[in-house]
Amino acid sequence: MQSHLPQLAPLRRECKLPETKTDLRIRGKFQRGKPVEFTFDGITVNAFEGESIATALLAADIVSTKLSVDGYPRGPVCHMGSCQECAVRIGGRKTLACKTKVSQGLQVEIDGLKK
Amino acid sequence: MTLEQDLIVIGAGPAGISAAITASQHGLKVTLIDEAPIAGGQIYRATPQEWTPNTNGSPDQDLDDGNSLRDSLSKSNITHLTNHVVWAVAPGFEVRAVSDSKEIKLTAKKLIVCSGVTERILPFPGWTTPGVIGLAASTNLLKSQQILPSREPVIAGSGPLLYAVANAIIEAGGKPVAIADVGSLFDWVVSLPKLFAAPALLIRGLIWRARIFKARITVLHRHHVARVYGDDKVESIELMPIDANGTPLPKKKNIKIKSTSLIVGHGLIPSLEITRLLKAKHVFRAERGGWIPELDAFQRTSVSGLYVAGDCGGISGAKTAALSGTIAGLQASFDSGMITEKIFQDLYAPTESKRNKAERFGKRMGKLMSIRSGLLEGLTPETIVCRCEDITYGQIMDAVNAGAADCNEVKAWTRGGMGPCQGRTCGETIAEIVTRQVGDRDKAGFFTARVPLRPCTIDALAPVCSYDDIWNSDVAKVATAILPAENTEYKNSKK
Ligand SMILES: Cc1cc2nc3c(=O)[nH]c(=O)nc-3n(C[C@H](O)[C@H](O)[C@H](O)COP(=O)(O)OP(=O)(O)OC[C@H]3O[C@@H](n4cnc5c(N)ncnc54)[C@H](O)[C@@H]3O)c2cc1C
Ligand code: FES
Repeated sequence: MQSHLPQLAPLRRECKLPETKTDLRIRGKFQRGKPVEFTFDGITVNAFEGESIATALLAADIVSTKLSVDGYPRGPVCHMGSCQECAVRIGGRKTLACKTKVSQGLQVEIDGLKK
Repeated sequence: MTLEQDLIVIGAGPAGISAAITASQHGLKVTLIDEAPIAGGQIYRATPQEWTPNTNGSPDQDLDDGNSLRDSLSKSNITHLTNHVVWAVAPGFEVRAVSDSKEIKLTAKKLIVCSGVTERILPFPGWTTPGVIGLAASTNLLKSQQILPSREPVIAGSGPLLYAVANAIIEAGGKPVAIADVGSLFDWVVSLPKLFAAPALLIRGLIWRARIFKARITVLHRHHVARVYGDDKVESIELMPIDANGTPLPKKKNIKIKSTSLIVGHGLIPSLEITRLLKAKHVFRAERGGWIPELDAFQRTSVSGLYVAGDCGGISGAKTAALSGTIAGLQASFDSGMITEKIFQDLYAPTESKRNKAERFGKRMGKLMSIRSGLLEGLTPETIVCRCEDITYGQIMDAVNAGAADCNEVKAWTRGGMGPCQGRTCGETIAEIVTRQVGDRDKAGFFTARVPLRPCTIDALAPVCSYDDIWNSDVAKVATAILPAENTEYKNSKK
């Protein structure tokens, strides 16, 4: 599928798992699940089993994850399944990124059309 | 599939778990439903099953408390349905939930609703920019996903979560750029006597403040977000001084701060979709979070057999939630004839006095988080109010000026509140805007609750595909039975 987001520069970047100070993941308290790879709008994102899609995208510095009905960029707000601003598409079906866990090879697409 | 129970409890937070355990101890057949994969609710939201705790991890009070609740739950006879979203509830009581494209129907004579709260975020210009996230949302990220929402965010809004989040970020190695508190230092100081009701929590709060002070983080009291700059990502944030009501003070200087993240929240709102569907009586109490179901001292609503416990009955925090859950469980057991009045009284009295004490602290916190109407005065006509439908403040004002006299009229005229979030995000704002015109929140009313309470796929509900099949399915029958008058035309045309 063609991306509708040519103007969103951050989305175009390859996402690595930084082990540096800029990494947002808190280490120490828990041993995360197995590393997995999925794609968001064609970009490969690294994550760990157990993480939600919204968490993995946040860690990869992808904050714009949806286009609103009028085509404005939006991203997750409530991280609890209430606001619906984290909607993405998996296999064509609308899913909440904050309520769906990542899995190996998952193909996640952006929701909404640019006007 | 239909499951028949004595009691259904919706929501497995501290309130729901305590209610279910108490009722089950007294012999009721109980099912506890929650959409989360693990019990605990918001404050005790667990980390994913796939993760293992490191033994040398730092101590975490909320995690320990949550684990002990989960432990008692696993030792009980309660049927705990995880990953089940309740999408409809009918009088009598019939509860419908979906999980992974399967639907389940439960029936019971008694229903305890412990559905908790959602966060109130009042709009400001630029609040829809990606990178603006909730304060409560951040606690969720920090606790259950073990991730910083940002290393250097600006944190704004009201209530204790401001400092809880700032503290957690510092602990995890980040450094908030600034904290903008809607409340004044005075608001906090006058709260102190009430806060002594829960010394452990008070001390925890003071430690947070000390750590924030030590990290030399700017705390701006009586400040609100004036505007967020950036198109597809937050670039900077402008903060403005406000008065006690939240109204901007244009004579004082605004402050512009560079940061790619804004964490913001203006308190918590009880989740009342279920009690509204069941037509329980509700009252407006700003200091308890806004609209709340009318409850007696035994957690009973105005509908027979329907009880409410926890924050969805009025903001008061986790401790009160658990105690009110226990009371609701006791009352449901008594009303079902499982315990004598003597046993009920013996168990009720000590729990009630503990609950009342915890409430003194909790209600004060609720008050610190209550809505300040002046906060909406910085809106511009272009500011989006309803995020789902992209409806602006200007469009809503046009409707109000043209005579829309309550929330539902604004919704019908503008589509504001009609999107997939069911008005959970914009409902408070639209109600406040209408209130300015009509005088009070009672007159402004609230969005009528609708099924499905949460978006769910049609194939989960009706695995049949022609319109007539869907119409004749159970789903449609429930939907039309619950839906208000406006749908009767369609109903009649089908007769
Ligand atoms: C995102 C968030 C984070 C919070 N973090 C903190 C914190 O860190 N510290 C603190 O002191 N307070 C926090 N709070 C406040 C919190 O409400 C209380 O402290 C406490 O969790 C209240 O307990 P409760 O049992 O009343 O409700 P909750 O703990 O909120 O439990 C309600 C449960 O009901 C479930 N539920 C609701 N609707 C449905 C439905 N339709 N179908 C299925 N399940 C449903 C939810 O999944 C949830 O698990 C937070 C609130 C929110 C919204
Ligand atoms: S972030 Fe609000 S529903 Fe997912």
